[in-house]
Amino acid sequence: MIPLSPVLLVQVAQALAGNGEDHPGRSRGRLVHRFLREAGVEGGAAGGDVPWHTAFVHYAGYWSHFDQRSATSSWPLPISASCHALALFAAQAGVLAEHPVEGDLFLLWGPAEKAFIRAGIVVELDGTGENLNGEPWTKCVTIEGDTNPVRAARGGETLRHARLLSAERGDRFVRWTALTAGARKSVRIDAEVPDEERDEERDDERTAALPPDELRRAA
Amino acid sequence: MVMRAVPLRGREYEVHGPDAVYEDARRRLAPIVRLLARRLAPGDEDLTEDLQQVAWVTLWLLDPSRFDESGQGYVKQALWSRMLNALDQERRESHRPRVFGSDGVWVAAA
Repeated sequence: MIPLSPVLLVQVAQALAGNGEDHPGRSRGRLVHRFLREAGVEGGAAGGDVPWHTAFVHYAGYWSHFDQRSATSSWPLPISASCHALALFAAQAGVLAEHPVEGDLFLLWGPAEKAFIRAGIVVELDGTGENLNGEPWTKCVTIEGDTNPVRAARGGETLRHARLLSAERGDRFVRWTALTAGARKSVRIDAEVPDEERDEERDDERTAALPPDELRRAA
Repeated sequence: MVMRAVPLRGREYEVHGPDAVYEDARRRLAPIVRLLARRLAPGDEDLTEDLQQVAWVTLWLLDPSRFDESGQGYVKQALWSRMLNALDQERRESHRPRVFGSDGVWVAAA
């Protein structure tokens, strides 16, 4: 089994940077179809209008920790194309952090939606600072899918960005390296999951009922 | 063995910073911000310019990359609110008498 390593994730993300939709906004192409299919998004045109930033994270994580001999991946996060579901899982597992380390997944908070709106991979920390209003931030170089140079929500490319991420603004980080590696079947967390497949230690009902604001406070 | 010492160039290799996002949003919002500022301070070019600067600082603090098309209403409302607050502050500090229209918006210096 491949030990969990942020280096592996970052290297695979680096290799995927620059790839994305064949014709952004018009034709997604085979690679993005694959991201979505492996993240459990079914349907014609690979999920239609589903954003694929979180599916990209799953793809990079899964294949960076894939062991050819056992034909399993030790990637510890369940399958999902939803960053909200990813945040719920991380909160349940106690790995939702307020400050990043390299290799973390970031979850970007959207003030208008009052929800996490994007997930990606932190590949480098590049200093800290404060906004004019005193809010502290950490400058993170990220690799993320379904974006473009001006960070359109559905940009269709996989690119590197320098983001000023801040817990005070609602952003969070998934410290997946703190989870236990396991060559288990991934379980979709944005779909109905039979109880027996769930971790007994999780308090699913409590966490599933948390609205985003509660989730932020709980984290 | 050939070692590549010079980084590859191209948008797929670049790190895209927040400036391009901000400038893109500012370009898109410039007409509406100018309109709002003129509506708040008609005939006062200095104050109109000040209010626009307030809007641009607010836009930077909001971080436009956190808003997609459906969040543009939120952004415009935030800019409008901050410009109104700045106008209120300007009124309090200047003590200049103002003339208000029927909708409560300042229309001219008395």
